[in-house]
Amino acid sequence: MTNKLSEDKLFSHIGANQKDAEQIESVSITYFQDVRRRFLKNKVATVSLIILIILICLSVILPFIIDHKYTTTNLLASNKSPNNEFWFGTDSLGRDLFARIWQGGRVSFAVGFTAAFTSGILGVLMGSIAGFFGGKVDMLIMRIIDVMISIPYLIIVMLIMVVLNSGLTSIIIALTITGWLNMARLVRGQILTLKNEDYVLVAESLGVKPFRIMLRHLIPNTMGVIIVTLTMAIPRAIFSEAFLAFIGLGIAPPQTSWGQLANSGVKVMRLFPYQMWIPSIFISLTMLCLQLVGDGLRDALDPKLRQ
Amino acid sequence: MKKKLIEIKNLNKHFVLDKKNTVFAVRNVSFDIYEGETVGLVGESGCGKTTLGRTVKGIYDTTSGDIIYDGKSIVDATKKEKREYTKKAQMIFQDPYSSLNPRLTVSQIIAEGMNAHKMYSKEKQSEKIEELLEKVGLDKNHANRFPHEFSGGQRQRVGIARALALKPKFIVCDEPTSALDVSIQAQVINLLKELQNEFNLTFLFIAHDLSMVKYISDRVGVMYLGELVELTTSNRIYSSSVHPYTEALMSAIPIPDPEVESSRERIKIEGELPSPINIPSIGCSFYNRCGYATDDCKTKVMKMKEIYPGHFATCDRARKR
Repeated sequence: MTNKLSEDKLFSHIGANQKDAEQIESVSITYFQDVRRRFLKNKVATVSLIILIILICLSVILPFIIDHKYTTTNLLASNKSPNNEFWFGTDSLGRDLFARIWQGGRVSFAVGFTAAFTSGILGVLMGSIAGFFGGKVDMLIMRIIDVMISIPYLIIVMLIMVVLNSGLTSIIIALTITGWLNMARLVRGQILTLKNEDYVLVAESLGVKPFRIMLRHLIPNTMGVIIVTLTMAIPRAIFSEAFLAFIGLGIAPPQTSWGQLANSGVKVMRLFPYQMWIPSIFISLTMLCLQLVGDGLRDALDPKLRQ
Repeated sequence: MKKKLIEIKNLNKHFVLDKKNTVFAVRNVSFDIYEGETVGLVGESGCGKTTLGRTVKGIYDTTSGDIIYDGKSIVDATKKEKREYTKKAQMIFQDPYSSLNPRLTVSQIIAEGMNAHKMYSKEKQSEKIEELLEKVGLDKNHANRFPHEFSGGQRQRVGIARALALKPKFIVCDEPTSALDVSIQAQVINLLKELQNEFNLTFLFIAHDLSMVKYISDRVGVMYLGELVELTTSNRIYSSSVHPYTEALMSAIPIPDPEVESSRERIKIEGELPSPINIPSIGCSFYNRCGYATDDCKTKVMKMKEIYPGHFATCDRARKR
C-alpha cells in the first residue's frame, strides 16, 4: 500500500531555494540596542539611573526658579530648622539651605562629570598609544604612571591647588592630572589583547593606517571598559571635590558645593545636625546611584553575558 | 609559457625569541607562482605554511631572501610600491569569526580597504559593495547587518568580498575552509574557483585537507619543518610523489571504498615533529622519522632537484619503480 498522504496530495515537493538559505529573518540589533535592553532589565540600576537624572535635572533647574537665592543672607533667620519657608532650614548666615543644596549640586556634578571626562579622554589616549605602539613609548608612559601612582594623590592635588589658586578650573585640572592613571592602565591592557585579534591583522594587511586602526578597531572594542571606568570615575571625582572642600581646599565662598556644605555643617553638628546630614545624604545618594549604575553598565556591556 | 607572477627566492623567516632561541619558521623556500594558477600548500601543523603565506603577502618582513612580484622585488621596494603591493595581494583568513570586527557592519568591513586606498567616491562605493555582495552569493540587504548575525559560511564569504574589494591579482588563502562545516566547505571552494575564473586570480592556497587541495590546486607544494620538500602538479603529487614525507602524507588520505581502504598499505611516520626552534642547519630535517634514511642523510646538504620536468623534490628515495 502506498503512502496515504502522498496519494491525497496533501504535501507536495517544493524544492530548495538557494536564496532562501541566505535569508536572515531576525531584526538587526546593534550592540548598543542590546546593551540598553540588558541594562533596563536590571531594576536596581534603572532606578538608580532615574534618581540620578532627577537629581541632575533639579540641580540645573531649581536654582533658577526658587525664591531664595543661595547668596542672600538673612541674619534674622539664621540656623532655622527645616520648616515651611526654608525646606532644608538655613545656615549660620541665614542662607536658605534648599537653594544652596541645588546650587552645590550644580558644582558637584559639573566637577564630577568634567573631571571624569577629561581624565577619561587623557587616559584613553595615553593608554591606547602605550598599548598600540608598544616598545619604548609604552615603557615611558607606563613608568610615568607608576611614578604618579606611587605619590599620594592628595599631595599632587594640594600642590596644584597651591600653584593655581583654588577655584573650579584648578580643581578640575588637579583631578584630571591625578585621575587618568587608572584608565590608561586598563585601556592599555585591553589594547594589548585586542592588538592580536585577527581583524586588526586584516586591517593592517589591507593597508589601513595605524591611527585609523586605533580609532576604528581598537578603541570601539574597549568601549565597555571605558564606559564602566568612567561611571566609576564620576563618583570618585565628586567625592574628591567634596573631600577637598571639606579640608578647605575647595572652591571659594559664596560659591558652594556639597562638600563645602558638609564642611560648614560639621562645625555646628552638635547644635544643628540637619546642616551636616542633608548635604551628606545628597553626597551619599549620588555616590550610591552612580556606583549602582556603573555596576549595571558593566554587566550590560560584557559581551560574554550577551544572549 | 605562462607568465611568472610571483617568484620566491631562498626565502627565510626566523622569529627571534631571545638571545639563545630562534624559531626557524620558513627555511630556504624557493618557488614560482604563475599567473592564474592555484598553488596548494600542505604540511602538518606548525610546519610554517601560514608563516610562508603571510610573508609572501607582506604582513611579515623577510629575514632573508627575496619575493619578486611582477618582475619587481617587494622586499626592497619603495614605500609607494609596497603600498601598491598590499592592494594587489590580498589574504583570506582562516577564522571567519575572529577576522571580522564585531562592531562594524558588513558594508563597513568591505569598505575598509577601499577607504584606505581611496578607490571610489561615496555613491560609487556603496554600489561596488552591493556588487561584491552579490558576487559572493550574499544579498545586498545584508550590507547593514553585523557579523554575529551570519553563519560561518556567510562570514567567510564576507571575508572573501573584503579581499576582492581591492581588485587584487593574487590572494593568499590561509585555510579558508578549516573552520567551516563540510557542506559549506564545498560551497566556499566552488565560489573561490568561480571567482578565480572571473577575475583571473592567482591563489596560494594553504590547507591541510589533502583531498581539497587536490581539487582546487594546479600545483601542490609540501612543507616539512619550514622547508619546501616537494613541488609538482596536483596529479603527480598524488600518483607519483618521490619524497618519503610526501609518500607518507598521501597514504594518509582515506579512500571512500572499504575494501581498498582495508587492504592498502599505510605508511606510518614514527616519532614526533621536531621543534622548529634552533634546527641544526645541516642534514635532512626528516632524517629522524624517515623510513629510508641512511647515515648519509644526517650530514648531506638537501637541495631541490628537478627529478622530472616541473617536478621538484629535495629527496627521491620513495620513487616508485
